[in-house]
Formats: sequence, C-alpha cells, structure tokens
Amino acid sequence: MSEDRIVLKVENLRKWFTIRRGLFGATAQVKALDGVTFELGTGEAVSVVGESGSGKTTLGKTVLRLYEPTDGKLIFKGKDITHTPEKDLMWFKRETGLVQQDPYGAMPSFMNIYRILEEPLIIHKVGTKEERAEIVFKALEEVRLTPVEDFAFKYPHMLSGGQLQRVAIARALILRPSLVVADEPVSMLDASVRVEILTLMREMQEKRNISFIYITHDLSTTRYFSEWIFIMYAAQIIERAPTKTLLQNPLHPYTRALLSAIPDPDPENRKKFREVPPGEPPSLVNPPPGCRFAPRCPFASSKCRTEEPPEVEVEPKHFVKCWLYAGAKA
Amino acid sequence: MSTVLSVKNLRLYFTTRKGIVKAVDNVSFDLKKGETLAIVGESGCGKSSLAKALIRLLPRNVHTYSGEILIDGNDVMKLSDEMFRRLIRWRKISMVFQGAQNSLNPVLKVGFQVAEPLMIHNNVSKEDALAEAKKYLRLVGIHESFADRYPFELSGGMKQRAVIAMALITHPEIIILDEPTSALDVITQANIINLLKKIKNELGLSYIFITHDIAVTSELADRVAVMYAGEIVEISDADEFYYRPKHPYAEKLMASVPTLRTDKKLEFIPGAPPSLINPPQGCRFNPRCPYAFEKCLKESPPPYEIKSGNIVRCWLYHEGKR
Repeated sequence: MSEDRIVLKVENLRKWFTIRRGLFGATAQVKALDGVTFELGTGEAVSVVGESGSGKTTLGKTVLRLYEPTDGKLIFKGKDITHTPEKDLMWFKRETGLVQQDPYGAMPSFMNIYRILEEPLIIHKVGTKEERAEIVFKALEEVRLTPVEDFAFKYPHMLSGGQLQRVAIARALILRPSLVVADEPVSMLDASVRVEILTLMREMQEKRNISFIYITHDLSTTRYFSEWIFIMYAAQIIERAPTKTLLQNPLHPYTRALLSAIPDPDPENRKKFREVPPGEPPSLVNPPPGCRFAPRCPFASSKCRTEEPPEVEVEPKHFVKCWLYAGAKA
Repeated sequence: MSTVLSVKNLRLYFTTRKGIVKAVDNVSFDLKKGETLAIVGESGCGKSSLAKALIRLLPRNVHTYSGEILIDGNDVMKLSDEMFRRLIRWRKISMVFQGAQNSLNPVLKVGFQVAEPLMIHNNVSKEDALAEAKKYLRLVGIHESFADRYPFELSGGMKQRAVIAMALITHPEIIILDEPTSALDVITQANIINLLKKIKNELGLSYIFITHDIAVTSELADRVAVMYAGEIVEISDADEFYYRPKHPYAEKLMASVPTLRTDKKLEFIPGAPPSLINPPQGCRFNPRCPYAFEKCLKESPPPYEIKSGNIVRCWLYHEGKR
C-alpha cells in the first residue's frame, strides 16, 4: 500500500492496565493489548474478531486515543499521535467516530435526538445555528429516520434499539470522519434488525470512503461487511487476511477452531458433535510464554510453549502468528 | 414415541399501566419423549414468558393464566401452587435460566447450590445431596473439587455447566433451556451444546430450547416452533424448517440469518414487531407481510396442519395459495 493511502498505522501497540489485588496487595499489569501491528487504508473496512477478553475493545479505544498507549506507535495520516496530549488531539477527534454496543447507554437520556446530533458540531464549532440544523436533519435522513421532524425531537427512550443505533451511526459520522470504530454495534439487536443496521453502515462507509474498524465476536457477519478480518486471541492479532481468504483458508489453529464452532442453520448439526478445543483463553496478567494458544492447541510442540511465534506472511496479504507456518519459512 | 408434554390453548396475560399485555396467546404444542423442540422468535415475542408459564414462575401482575398443560397425561394447571411446587417444578420439569452465570448466588458454594433442589424438592439430607451434587458436577465436566468453591472462582462456561447440573439433579423429564448459551463465547457455546447433546442421550431427556439464534437451534432441534407477537405461527420438523420454512415470517427471519459457509444475500424485515397490548387485527404479521391479502387484515388464521405435528398459521395455506 502506498504511504499516502494509509489512514492508520499501528506498530507493536500495547495497552497495559494496572490493577491492585486486594486492598493492600501488590499491583499487577493486565496486558489487554500486547503487541499489535497493522495498517488500514482509505475506505477500507476491517473486522476485528475475538472472544470476550481478547482485547478487541481495548484495540478500538486505543486507536481512537480514548486510551493512551503503553508502548508502540500509533500513526494517523502520517502524524504520530501515540502520546500527543489530549488538548492537542481535537483535530484527531474530529476525524474519528465511535459507535458503541449499547445505544441506550451511549446516549444522554436528557437530550433529544436533535441535541445529541448537534453536540459534536457545537464542540467542534461547526457552522451557524441554521447550518447546524441543516446538517442534523440531513444526517437523520441519511440514516433513514424519516420523517426527520418526528425523530429529531424525540428522546432516546422513545426509540427502539435499531432506531437508536441509527442515531449513534449518524452521530459518529456527522463530522465527516475518515476513521470510524464500531464496537459490537449490532450484538444487542434482533437478527432482522442486525442486517438492516449492518447494511446501512456498509452503505455509508462505501459512499463516504470511510476507513472502518468493525469489532465483533460474530464471524458470520464479517463477510457482509469488511475487506479484512483480524482474529484476536489473548491481546494479540494471531491471523489477518482479506475476508474471503481468511474464511476459505483459515490457517491458525485458533481461527480454525473458531470457524468450526460456529453453526450455520442446518438440520444435520443435531446429529453430530462439534470438534472444539477444551479450556478457555489464558489470563492476561500472566499469559503463557511462547504462543498463547499453545495450552489448548492440538498441534503444539515444545517450541510453541517456550518461544513466541513471529508473524509471517504465508501467502500475499495473509499473515499468521504460528510456528506451524513460521517453521516452514525459517 | 410417547408425548411427555402437551400444551393446549395456553394464555399468559399481564396487567400493566398501559393495558393488558398478551405475552402468550393461545399457544398449543406437544413435546415427545427424547425430543428437542426449539422455540425461536425475536425479543418481545413472548418466548421467555412461555417458559415461565410452563414452569409456573409468574410475576405478580398476572391478568390471565389459563389453558391446559398435560405432563404424562395429567393436567398440571389444575394443581395448586403448593402442589405444583412439590410435584412438578424441578421434579418433572426444570429450567436453565437465561444469563445463568449471574443466577448463581455469589456467597454460597457451588456444590451446595447444585445440591439445593434435591434438599428442597426431594427431601434428601444435606450430606446425600452434596454427594449427589459432586456426581452431577462430574457428569457436566467439572471436577468435583469445584463443589467447595464459590461462583467467582469459575469461568463463564463452568458456571453454565454448574447451572445445568442444578437443573438435572432432581431427575426431571423435561428441561427448559432459556437462551442457555447467549452470553457465552462461540467456542464455549459449542462445548456447552456438545454437553447438552451428550446428557440428553444419556439421560433420555426432552428439551424445550428457547433462543433468538436460529443457527444455534439447528444444533439441537428436532422440531422448531416460531413465535411472533405472542403466538406460535409455525411448528415444523427440523429437516423441513431449515430448508423450507413455511410461514412468511419464518421465511424472512431465515433470510436474515448470516451464514459462514455459503454465500447468500441477506435480507431484513422492514418494520417492527407489533405491540402485545394492541396487536393488529387479523394475522399479527400482516403489516409486514409481503404476501398479505384482504383476509389477512380481518381474520386471524387458525392453525393449518401440513402434516402430523407440523402446523402453520397463515391464510396462504388455508386458501390454497401455497
């Protein structure tokens, strides 16, 4: 990818949180994000897939600089913003947006929809009052909350989950950002509404050429939404590839396990057992040395238990962090 | 196969400030021994209320609770609350609750909580019940040493297993699974589903499996019932349902399910489910149904039997349009 097309460049990014065990206990580090590297081009959508506690939400919040990284580099449109103080980040906040999982929790309940959408415009001193009104109504129309006059003056509790998630999308996009993070935007919605919201997001993303990070635990929706899939396990990206490549040719044993765990609606399913690894992801305070999936991996060798595997490009654009593939290359 | 549960014209209405909510409206179905009946529907369709009606765990604002629930041929609706508690709940029919991981008491040891139904419902001594609890923990794949631990020491998947052990310990014939995996990660979910399949075969159980996730229903269901706005609109054999759902709502719902292994164009159902206080006249799905015709707007369709045990409530079938 040529440098000028890259919107976001993440190098070896880490975010560790300090916790205290017990009232007077020693402190420990939760390594929520532990050495993540990737780049994202203009207008590209990537799905970040992982189980709870895999660090996907921390990744989303860290790249938006809602958290300051512990280590590594965060470069947005060529500027290093890894440790830029909050007060100098206003331009960056204007260029980015966030859609959260729970739309009810993400909206101030005392503001009407109009006020909720106007807020970012006021903060970033956009336009006159009249111009702002025009922008807000147009935004509502774009997410198809019509007639807009009806919706603008309602309060969040008067809207359904799906409608409110449209407001959240409108709010995230209202400053015309170039990068948007959507963190489990549809996981609280019913199946038929999910498709509606994902389709809308995809449409807006393509129309405005926005770079999108779609964080989800649901692999089956990614093929409808993104060009790329990143698979996270225990605070690291263990495999990343274009969506089709990853779904057709998953390489990491964890990715394979994840894929085989997901059912498609098929009456044959009830007649067989699913082959899935036992156990659960490791602690992020003391992750295992070597490969973090090794304790559950059916192919683990002694090397996997002691040395961390490097990320290798097995086929063009298909990266995997696993000794099974690194060994062959070395 | 014998019928273990037969539900006829079950109604559960609630009184609220806004009016009467018809959460379960004239629901009928049979459950055979060793069978899994999945009940699918979107949030607010009444599926969890149906579970509560079956096991008679009702809130205070009940307006109407009527119909027949035959367990082994006896109508348990005729029993008093006390007799139902003593004879039916947990001894004949038990339940794994939604968000079960949070339904464990944080200050009681896991073994005691698993043993508790035996002490309460079967008058077993504490000592014997605890020994039995260890046996059931082993059965669900938890080492018996965990009996002496507290819930916070268990992972999400283990807590779910413990709650399943709790539902099994009184030897019920029927287990209601209300979204048993919806809070779990996919690999943990697959492990729990494997466990549910295993114990069903080993213990000869019948399941009522309530979920919003159609793909997951196919892991267990022998038959599928689709609920919409308080009513069951379709019951079909699994082999039929996943390929050819009958009711227009079921058809659209299926079209909105993303698949991992096949390319398909996803669709969504425009509009939203109706209020359960003032459901639309006629068929409750008619405002969103692409095939609705005049009759659908006026009269509620009765069940149309496609074959034994398979029904659809839709005028298209009555009128020979399908």
